[in-house]
Amino acid sequence: MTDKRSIDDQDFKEGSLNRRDFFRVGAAAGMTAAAAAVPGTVMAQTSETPDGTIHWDYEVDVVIAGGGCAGLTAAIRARDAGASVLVVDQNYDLGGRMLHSGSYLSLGGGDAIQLRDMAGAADAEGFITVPPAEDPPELDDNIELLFTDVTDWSVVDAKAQSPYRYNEREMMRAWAENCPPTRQFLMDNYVRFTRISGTHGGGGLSRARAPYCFLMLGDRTDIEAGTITAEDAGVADPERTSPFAPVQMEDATSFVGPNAVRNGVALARPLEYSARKKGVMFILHRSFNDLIRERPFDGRVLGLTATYSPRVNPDTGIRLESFWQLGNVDDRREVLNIRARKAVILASGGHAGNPEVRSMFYPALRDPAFPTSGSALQGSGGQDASALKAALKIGANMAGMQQNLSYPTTFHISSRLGTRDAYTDMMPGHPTFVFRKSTGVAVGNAGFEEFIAVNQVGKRFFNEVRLPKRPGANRYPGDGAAPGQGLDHTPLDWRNCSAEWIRKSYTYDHGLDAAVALNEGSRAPHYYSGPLWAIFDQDAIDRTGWEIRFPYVSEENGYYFKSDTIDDLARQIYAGHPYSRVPLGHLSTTVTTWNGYVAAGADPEFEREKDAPMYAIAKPPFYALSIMVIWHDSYGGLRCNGRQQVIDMQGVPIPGLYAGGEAVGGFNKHGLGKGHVQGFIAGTHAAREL
Amino acid sequence: MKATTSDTPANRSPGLEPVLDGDADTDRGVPFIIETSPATIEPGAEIVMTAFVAPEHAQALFHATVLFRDADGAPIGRAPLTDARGGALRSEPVERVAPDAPGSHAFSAVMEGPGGEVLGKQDFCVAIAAHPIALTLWDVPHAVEQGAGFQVTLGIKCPCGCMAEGWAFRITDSAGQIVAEGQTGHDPWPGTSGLYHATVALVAPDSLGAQDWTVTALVPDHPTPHIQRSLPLHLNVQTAPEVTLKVLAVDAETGAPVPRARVVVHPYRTFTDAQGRAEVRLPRGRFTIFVSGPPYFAFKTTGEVKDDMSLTAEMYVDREFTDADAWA
Ligand SMILES: Cc1cc2nc3c(=O)[nH]c(=O)nc-3n(C[C@H](O)[C@H](O)[C@H](O)COP(=O)(O)OP(=O)(O)OC[C@H]3O[C@@H](n4cnc5c(N)ncnc54)[C@H](O)[C@@H]3O)c2cc1C
Repeated sequence: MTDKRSIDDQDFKEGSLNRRDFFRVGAAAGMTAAAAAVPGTVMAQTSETPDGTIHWDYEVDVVIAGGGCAGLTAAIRARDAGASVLVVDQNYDLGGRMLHSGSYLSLGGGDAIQLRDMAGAADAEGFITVPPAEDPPELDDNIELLFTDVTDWSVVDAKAQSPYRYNEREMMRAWAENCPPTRQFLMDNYVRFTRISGTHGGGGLSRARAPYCFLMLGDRTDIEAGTITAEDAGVADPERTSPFAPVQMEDATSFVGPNAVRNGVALARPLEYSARKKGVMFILHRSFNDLIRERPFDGRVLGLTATYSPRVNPDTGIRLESFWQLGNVDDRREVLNIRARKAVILASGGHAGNPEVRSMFYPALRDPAFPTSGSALQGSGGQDASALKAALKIGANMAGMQQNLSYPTTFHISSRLGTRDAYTDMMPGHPTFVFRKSTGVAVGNAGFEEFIAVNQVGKRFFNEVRLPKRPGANRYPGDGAAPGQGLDHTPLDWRNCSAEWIRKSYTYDHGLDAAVALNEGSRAPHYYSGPLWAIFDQDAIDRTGWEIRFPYVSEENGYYFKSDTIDDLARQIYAGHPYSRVPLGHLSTTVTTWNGYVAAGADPEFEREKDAPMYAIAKPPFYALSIMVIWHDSYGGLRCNGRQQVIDMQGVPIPGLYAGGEAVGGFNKHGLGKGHVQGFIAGTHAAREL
Repeated sequence: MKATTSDTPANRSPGLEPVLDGDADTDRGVPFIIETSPATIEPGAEIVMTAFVAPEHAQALFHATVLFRDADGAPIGRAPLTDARGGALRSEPVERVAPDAPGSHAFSAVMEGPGGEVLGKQDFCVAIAAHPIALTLWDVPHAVEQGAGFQVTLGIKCPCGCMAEGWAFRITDSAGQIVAEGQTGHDPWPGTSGLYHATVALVAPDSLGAQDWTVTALVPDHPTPHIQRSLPLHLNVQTAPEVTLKVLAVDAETGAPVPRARVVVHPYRTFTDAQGRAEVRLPRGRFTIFVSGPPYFAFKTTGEVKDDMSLTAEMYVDREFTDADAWA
């Protein structure tokens, strides 16, 4: 492959897409022009079609809403089984949050990578030159143990939440059974795994189950050969990313060997490459909004409607285009009806980016001032609860909604300041950098001792150094809260959650809750708590060496301010931040009071002197960087059975409807491990539908 | 200009209300009043304007819109009369940035019907307070020795753009006695645009312990009225140090020295050198010692310092999270 923008045409033909399986009908005709005689038009009753007919713009075996972790996996799986597959994605490129991810992919149950590392073997291509990171007993896994782990009622974390107790049992059984074949499937589609090192959140406490995905630095980017150029990997220049990789790839020497790099790019791009090569088709820039079912709450799901949602560079007005094009269908009509002969698979992610929906769990987080992670990459259409909204309209049930509150990182305060997209560190070079305009300043947890944190009216609200603290996730080797760590953990033991033990292990600080509490600027009807600010002076910069310059901060995006005086700073924030709703009327007094506390060596309000030294905010100029609360991901969602069929309110599967990934609830497992296996299961069964 | 995001509690500010010239008389049309908030409007600050129509006139203005104009007659905002409670009518609040010039500004408002016809007119006053003065004080020593000389730097700025060059200030001690007077210099502090500064030499008092002096930026001799501003100057008066605390900061895992770590022994503070070493001179007494600095979590210990002593601070890297947590 020479031109990295197009997959070799030869490969495409060999991928043998039967074009008759994927035909377009009705050209520019709108829905109203549809007639029963037009090919591809079926009789149906939906609220959109009072005359009882639907005009289908496209017809295909399997339609997938969302081309990320669950969606791409399901697409390849269904295509492998001979189905024609069309993926609809609201973004300009594929990969979803998977592309942004760390690629730490927790499966297990005796999967191929566990077996490889247990044997001390290298990978088939011989890239891995380092010994296993885990000892064989830590990798010695099986499906029963994995199933037990992910349904273990006894585990309680350091926030006194139970991460496994409420998981859906049938779905967990299917998940555990499908972990080994999914690992193999990913490897068969050009995904390369590093040595296993620990387990990811929600993946169980008993064994090591998670490797990263990697590629090797080389002269050209060639997915089949497993190589990537330094430019594409974003490692050629410390302050640039590339259109290929939204986040700079990390060094993977310790898990692979020299020249290996890792992160979600090494997972998402290989899967995308494979899907395109095998003949999966894609309509990008298109948001699915509704499912079309035979009758409103009854009958098969026939397809979906999707609206044109172009992602346009706000500075140039030019539409963004995907890195690879093969298999893309460029259709810019406003609304399309797409028929799924076999099934629709909902893989459009969760609701973390939809403040109205997520506020059902925590009303204080209805404030749109706080985004979800990776919001620049995904745009406002990502994580917008679209799967949940559409499926609820046709009678679907939900599961595990309370589990949103029981994962330690569902929402947290980021230690990256001065950018809205504070979970990730995208640098200029990626086409979506323009939506954030700054990378942010990573100050670490320790950096919180350098400033005071104030709310929208300019008042302190908590001991700053405790704000970014998060309790550990419950996973092997057990740094969550189980008393027996690592191999000493005893599943299903009541001692794991004895009241005495929980009292000892509880470490949650509630700083985030103070951050989003009502304050003097909270106004009816929403009573938003508003944005948060780190306030510091020139001395803080001299102490720390923080680089307060582009691309870390931007003078244009309203997430960084610099002023001669504290009074000016307050005015600038009020005038320049998109979510400032009230003046920071208390800021000046807060700083004067704080400087008094520093002189006295005691902070009577929040007792900060007990944790860290305190510094006066006195020497001009003065600075403000935004502090973000991030709602990272979703654990509640659609209820599914072991085949990933969506279940209705009567407990019956909705015919022709599947779901996977963060769209699905009832599995308190973070991220990729959940999405890939559920996509694998959904793709398998969707293709088998008659 | 900020857009209105939600309703703002409008304080009825009596001084600012227009006097209604009679009931539905002559050419003023249907009577209404304008409420402005807050009661005292700072120059350049947020001003919220709302139109209010008494129940007896509400009928006539039911679908009206109020148009606000500034002192030059330029339109500055429009709001429908949407809020009908208790028979009265109220417009949506309009939030705008107030003028900078202190004094009374004659604004006006017009009630327009659905077709743009004028239903009523009203003048109202917006009274802008005198300019504030921003005062900043830095390089204040964390501890001063009794009777010894020390220096502080202060900066004065008018946020409304008046040049604060040569503006006067005064420093008084805790008994209110003047200990220093002076004026700001000719150039703004480096890195700022209008913060005029002065460095002042002072002498610490004899009495030990914490005490607050006061720095006051006086009303300048300037055509625009300004409001005097004061700040506390916190002093920590100590006896002469008697003992030396030697600190060695090392990375807990590698044993490598940690340069430029902050050593804070309240109220004394310093940095470690390239070898991770620092020395702090202290009076005898009980202290909490912090050693901190990125990428480490703060090291803390508390104890009695009776004689010269040495301390090794083992510092742990800020890695509460493993890689796995970081990507969680
Ligand atoms: C920075 C970051 C790091 C992470 N690191 C890890 C990690 O190391 N390990 C791990 O296990 N997990 C990680 N995660 C989480 C993991 O990436 C996600 O949980 C996972 O990708 C979710 O899979 P999904 O298929 O549900 O959604 P996604 O992968 O996000 O895919 C959803 C797709 O649907 C599209 N879409 C959304 N709405 C619509 C609509 N209405 N119509 C059409 N298309 C739509 C989106 O554009 C997107 O392409 C990370 C996440 C982030 C943001």
